[in-house]
Amino acid sequence: MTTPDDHPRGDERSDRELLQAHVDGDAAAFGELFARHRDRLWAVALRTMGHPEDAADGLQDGMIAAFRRAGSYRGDAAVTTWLHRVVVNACLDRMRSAKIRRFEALPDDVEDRGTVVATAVHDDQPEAVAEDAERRRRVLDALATLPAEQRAALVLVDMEGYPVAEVAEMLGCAEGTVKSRCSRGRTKLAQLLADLHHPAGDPPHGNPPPDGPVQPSVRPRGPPAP
Amino acid sequence: MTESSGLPPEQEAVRRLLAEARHDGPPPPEVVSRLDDTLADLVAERADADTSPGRVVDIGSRRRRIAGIGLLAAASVVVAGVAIGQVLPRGGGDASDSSAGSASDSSLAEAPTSEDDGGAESGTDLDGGADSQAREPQESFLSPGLADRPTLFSDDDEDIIGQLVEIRPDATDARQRLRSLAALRSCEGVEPGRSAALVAATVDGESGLVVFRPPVGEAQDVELYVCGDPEPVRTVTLPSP
Repeated sequence: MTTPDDHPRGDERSDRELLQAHVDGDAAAFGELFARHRDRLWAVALRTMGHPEDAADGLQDGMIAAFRRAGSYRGDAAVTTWLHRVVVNACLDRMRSAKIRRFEALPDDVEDRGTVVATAVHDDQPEAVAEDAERRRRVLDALATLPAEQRAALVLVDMEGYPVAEVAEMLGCAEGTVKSRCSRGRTKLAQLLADLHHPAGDPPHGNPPPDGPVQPSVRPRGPPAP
Repeated sequence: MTESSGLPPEQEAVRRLLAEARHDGPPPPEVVSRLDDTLADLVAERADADTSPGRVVDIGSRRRRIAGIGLLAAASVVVAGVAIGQVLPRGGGDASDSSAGSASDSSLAEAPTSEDDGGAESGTDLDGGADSQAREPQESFLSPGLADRPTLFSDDDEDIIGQLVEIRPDATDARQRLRSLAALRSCEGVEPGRSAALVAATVDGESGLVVFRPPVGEAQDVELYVCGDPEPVRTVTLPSP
């Protein structure tokens, strides 16, 4: 993970310099620092919270906490790791406080720019676009069924690609705990998404139901058994 | 992607699906705008704190001064209570009452008197000795007891939010604020700042403080301190009250 923290470009201040400047009273420093990492923090908040509005709340909470707690940064980890930790904790706190509404399906990816980017390569293949969007929706719906800690670990490790050791720092737990959470989460997702990762050649089974748990790929025909 | 190697095929497939579902791109404009507004509020808040007359003196000395004033006022209440109790005949409740009342109006120090029992009750029931009633508050002020404090643990992820929401009203309760001033006096190293609301607590088994920051937008930061450690041992974000 190369960040301005490690290699500031030109006369650009490093993350640490910006954070220190903020602590020292530079009114613009924190904004510059946060803007530098905002997109990725947003991605983590969005995938962890599952809904854009909740993600906005979580990211805002994290930003406020980081602004006020900058003086507590001890320099043990990279600033970006620290920022992720603060934001993820803010998101988890929000989820634990049960103040967010119950998870709802993402609103047709209207605000999910990732979908736009991902599907742009299929502009001339509407079926492929629809298939991509559907698969993404299924994955995100399944992800939302996981406990918050497992979800956060998978978002950081599998979606964002952070090393386990760095995620352990972000989540404030041992590396083994991160691996365990990821493994358990993947196992659950593998069950929920079995039809999406069947070997090539396995024919599709039609559209999944719009709501509720993922159904088995092979359904019994006829009336239900008495 | 250090996790990708050596995974069972099913887990590797899930990992790939998750990677494909990652989000790219900036937050929506309305979110960016909201973050910008919040940041502007934070910067303004800090600028106000930095330029206010109260900041001419550093926070630590200000805290010690407040605590000193509180202690002095508490001692005054004790002396007044003892003197009135000795001078006035029994039944002179009105005089005592008004004396205590005026002290409480003009000073931060009377709050400890109502720490354990209702202020009205202690003010009206003078029969039985003003001495004892005056002394008890002073003792509790000088050495805030742990018995009535909320007990919090920084690594408690399950209950801490509920506990903090429960004690949050205490932070704005007048009696609690004054009690917290006493706790702050004996909590060296913690400087929560002027705008914070405090609740004395037992944190990780030690004397500590819960610091409620002013809400910003829909969020309110809460910090848990152990006395002697200038850094919070835990920060939690609550929805604004």
